[in-house]
Amino acid sequence: MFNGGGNVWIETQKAMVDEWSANVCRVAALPRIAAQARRVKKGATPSEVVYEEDHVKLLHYPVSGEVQHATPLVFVFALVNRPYILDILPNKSVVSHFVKAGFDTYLIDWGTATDADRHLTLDDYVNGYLRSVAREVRKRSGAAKVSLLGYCMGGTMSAMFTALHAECVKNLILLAAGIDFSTREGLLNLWSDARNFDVDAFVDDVGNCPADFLQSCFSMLSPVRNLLGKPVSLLERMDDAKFVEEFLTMEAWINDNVAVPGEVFRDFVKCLYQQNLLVKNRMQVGRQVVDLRRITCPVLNLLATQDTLVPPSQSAPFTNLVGSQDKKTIELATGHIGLAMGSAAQRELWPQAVAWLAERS
Amino acid sequence: MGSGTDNPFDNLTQMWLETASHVMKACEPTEGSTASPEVFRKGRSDLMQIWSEWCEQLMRSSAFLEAQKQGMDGSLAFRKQIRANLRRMQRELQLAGREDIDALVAAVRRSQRRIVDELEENSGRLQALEAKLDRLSERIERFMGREGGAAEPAAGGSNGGEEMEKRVEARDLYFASGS
Repeated sequence: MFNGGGNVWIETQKAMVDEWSANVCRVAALPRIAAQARRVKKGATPSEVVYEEDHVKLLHYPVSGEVQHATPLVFVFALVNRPYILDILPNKSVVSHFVKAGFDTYLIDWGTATDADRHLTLDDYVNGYLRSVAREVRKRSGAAKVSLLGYCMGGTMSAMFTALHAECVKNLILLAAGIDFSTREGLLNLWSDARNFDVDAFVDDVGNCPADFLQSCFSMLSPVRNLLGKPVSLLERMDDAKFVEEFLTMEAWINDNVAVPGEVFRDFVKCLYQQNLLVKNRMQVGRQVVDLRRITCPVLNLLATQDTLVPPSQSAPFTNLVGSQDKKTIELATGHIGLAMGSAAQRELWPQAVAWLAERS
Repeated sequence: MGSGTDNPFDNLTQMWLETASHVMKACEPTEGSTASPEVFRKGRSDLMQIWSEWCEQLMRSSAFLEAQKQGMDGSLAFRKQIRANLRRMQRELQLAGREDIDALVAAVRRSQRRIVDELEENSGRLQALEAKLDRLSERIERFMGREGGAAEPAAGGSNGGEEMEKRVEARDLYFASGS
């Protein structure tokens, strides 16, 4: 590279000096970043807790002015992380799209499972907590039914709930929700295969599935990007305050995993990842069997084509399995988290989802 | 990355060969280019891509899956052994351990299930009984209507007490008839 003539050599020197001075600026930004990291906020839209049961909290987002739609909307998040990803920053909030459109919006915060919760099953969550929340929301709003928006594992639970309690649900939106676990496209599907992972021995031993175990599994899905790419990109853009704010907020959320109740983890891995019972309409939740054909309400399936956690082949089959006539799938070229808070999702996906729901609420 | 085998060592060799060839290619001078940070960034991003693909391939290999399973089984067996020893100690000290709590919770859950079963059964019975009662009262109403219809002209001047007595008589008659 140094034999291209005098000009090349001079330009290289200049570029090196520029890069060096930029590095000095970046290092100078370190104290500010450290201070910023301590001030990371969780949740952007004002909310109030309107219902509590055990660790579960139901947050309500008041609309400024009149509620525009008769059917309230409930966000159902996964049990593996905290739900504030759906309302993480003012310009990246899924919740605020719906609140601004005049929806009476609620979000379920499942809380943090303790050792005493390791016996809680999917039945407790789907037929217990979720049902109580739906009852409470209907009581508060006076509506006969609610709309559900489930993200990731919360989407799978929302689908189960809708199949079991169709009378409570007016519309169902799934966001990167795992339904058909037969695919081996995703590493999680491969690692949790019965030949590679003895979930019974694991849960019997550890009780709740530990947060750091989940954390390391998720990191290992893209090790180079997570362990190398992300620190390098932070180093390069340390002087960009907006980037740093978003980066720190995201990292705070990503590292805020919570333990999953042991029996829920066992049900999920065994019945879904290993036996794929949901698509076979043989998934048992409590005393009832989930039959996806019983879902007849309007369904919107949102999926990310670059999702490594829930590959699109895992969520796309949902619309073919339900009994609904009114169903739609929207794909976006992004990853699992980008589907909720990515710029493309904020710009293209959520306005469409809001319009879809507004027509049906 | 090129076509890999299931052997992680072959894949590793291939990955480093690709990395080396990529680095050499990036260092070759091209027409009008300068060794600016952009070139390094592009090279770095390509290298990360190669490493990502190699990692993906490695983590899908049967050797990795086998190693992962063995690691997990070994770790669980070790924990189990430790727990067994602790359990023995707890027993000696007559302390409650996790197994005791688990057994207690399991017992409570079983009782809960039995109670729910019982409640559901009773609720079913009650519903059946209610339906039967509804049918019965409909029939009584009909029967009474017939009786009342026949008695109405005569009962024009009778008071409420007599009416009630007649109704009770009619009901007794109905049940006595076994219909």
